[in-house]
Amino acid sequence: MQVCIDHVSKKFKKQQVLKDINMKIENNEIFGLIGPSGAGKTTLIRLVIGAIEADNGTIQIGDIQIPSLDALKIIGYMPQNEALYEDLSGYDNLMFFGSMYGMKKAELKKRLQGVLELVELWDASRKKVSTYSGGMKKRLSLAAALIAEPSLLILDEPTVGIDPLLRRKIWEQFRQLKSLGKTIIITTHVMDEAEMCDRVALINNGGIIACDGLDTLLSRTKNHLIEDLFIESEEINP
Amino acid sequence: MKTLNIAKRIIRQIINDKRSLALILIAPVFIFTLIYLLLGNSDYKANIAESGLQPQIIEYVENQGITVDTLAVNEGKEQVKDSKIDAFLYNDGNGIRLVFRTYDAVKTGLIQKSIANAMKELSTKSSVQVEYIYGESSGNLFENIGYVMLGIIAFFIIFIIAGVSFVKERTNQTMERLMMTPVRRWQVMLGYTLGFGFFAMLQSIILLAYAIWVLHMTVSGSAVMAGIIMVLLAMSAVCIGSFFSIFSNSEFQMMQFIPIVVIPQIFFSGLISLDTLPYHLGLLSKIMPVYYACSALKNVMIIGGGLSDIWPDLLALFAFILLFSVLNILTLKKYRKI
Repeated sequence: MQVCIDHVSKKFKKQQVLKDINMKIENNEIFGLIGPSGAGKTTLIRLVIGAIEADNGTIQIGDIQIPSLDALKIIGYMPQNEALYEDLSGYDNLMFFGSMYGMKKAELKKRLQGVLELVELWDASRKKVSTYSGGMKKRLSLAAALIAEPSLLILDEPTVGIDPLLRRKIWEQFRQLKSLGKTIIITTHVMDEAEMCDRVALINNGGIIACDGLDTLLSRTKNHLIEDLFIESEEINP
Repeated sequence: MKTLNIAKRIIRQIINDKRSLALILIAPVFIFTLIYLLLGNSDYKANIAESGLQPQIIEYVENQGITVDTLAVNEGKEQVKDSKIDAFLYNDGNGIRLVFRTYDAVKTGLIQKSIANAMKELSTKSSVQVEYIYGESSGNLFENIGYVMLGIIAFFIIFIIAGVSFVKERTNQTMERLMMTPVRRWQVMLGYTLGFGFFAMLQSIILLAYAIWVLHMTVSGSAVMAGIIMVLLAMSAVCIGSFFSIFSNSEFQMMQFIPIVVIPQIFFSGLISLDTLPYHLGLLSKIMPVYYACSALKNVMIIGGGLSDIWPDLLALFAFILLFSVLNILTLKKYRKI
């Protein structure tokens, strides 16, 4: 699923959060949004989903103009924090989110096992989420984003607070999802995750500093460090 | 379908959360029992006098544990005034009059109830005129407070549960996540209202059944109708509770709405007679759902009215539900513009 962001700006009250964002996310790529906290990553993601409306500019997913209820049917969204129903079992959480995409019960049940096995939660799926560890909740949250077989996955800092081993596993899952033809947008401020994206956009102070393959971007810097890219942009644009 | 799935999720969540479940289903019965014990079921042996009444009535009243003497009318009134007897019952030719010295929740209730029972049992047509030597009549026995308490309990508990669970959904951001699925805003609100409505219904049935069969509260009209009123009131509590949760950032802030939203409604529910209030304060009751529900409950439970008597009250409750549902659907725009 191709995502076109065209001259998009967003203001909250008087503060300009995003200014004139232009970028194109290609079909079937893992696209990283990288930048310090407060740079505007989450705002951009919320604009793409249609949670908020842009002041200027347009966003298109495939040929759907955002915001649109139809677009939400093909988007799987994983918010920054887990956002799960603690009083329900993992299984019931997924059943619920699946039904919100209009999935039928029989279809859902079939899909559930696959998704739960993918995130290695099948055995714990009947337990209440309140008994889960942080990592389990994160994985269940990812499963909830995957449940309706979306063609576009939008993941807001999916690996924050997850140990390196689990993070590697989750990234394996992302690559597997890509091989299934999905487009994935990921925000992160962990620089080593950027290396695993096909392309990245660097966001700082509400603008895009650079957007390309990470290797290409790094070859422009002296020390081959992502931080340099941010520091350079500060020097040009203080 | 999505609406029903949301309702089902709410139901499952509450069933899994035993504390909330107990608050909805057991706490009302507990509170109601307490009120019953405090106001209604006293061991007090009342002592009254009569003049010129049918012997069957006297016998019936005596069988209920009340001592009945026979006195002349003047003497009887004098003794009531001097607190020698609790009440004086006499026939003044036009009907039966019951004289108390002053209003007393326990004694007045006890005596009035057994005389009313006697009249009902012996199918006497004439009504009993109650008089107080000091103070105005405000006829409040357990039965008269009972219907008010049914309304208040139904509103209060569902208001808290719905409001708090909405705040929880906001703070742990499940609401935001839900709004990022292709569900419509009205489906979300309707699902919530139905989900909590299910518990409202369960609560009303349990509370009414308990009041009628265990506490022997009399319902002159239809108990089903009383149940419907309570469910409508509880539904309005869901909508109002979720509306006020918008202004709360934590569960505790939700509690801060109790003195603003709930307590005034208790005062205006019919516990205090509204037409005697100064500065036309009674008019405030018109913006309070508990007032409409209680006046409908009073009509059904005390006066024995039916749908034709209470439809304006029911309409008002529907209006509250509709108004706050629309407001809630609009406020969900905060999460998603469409």
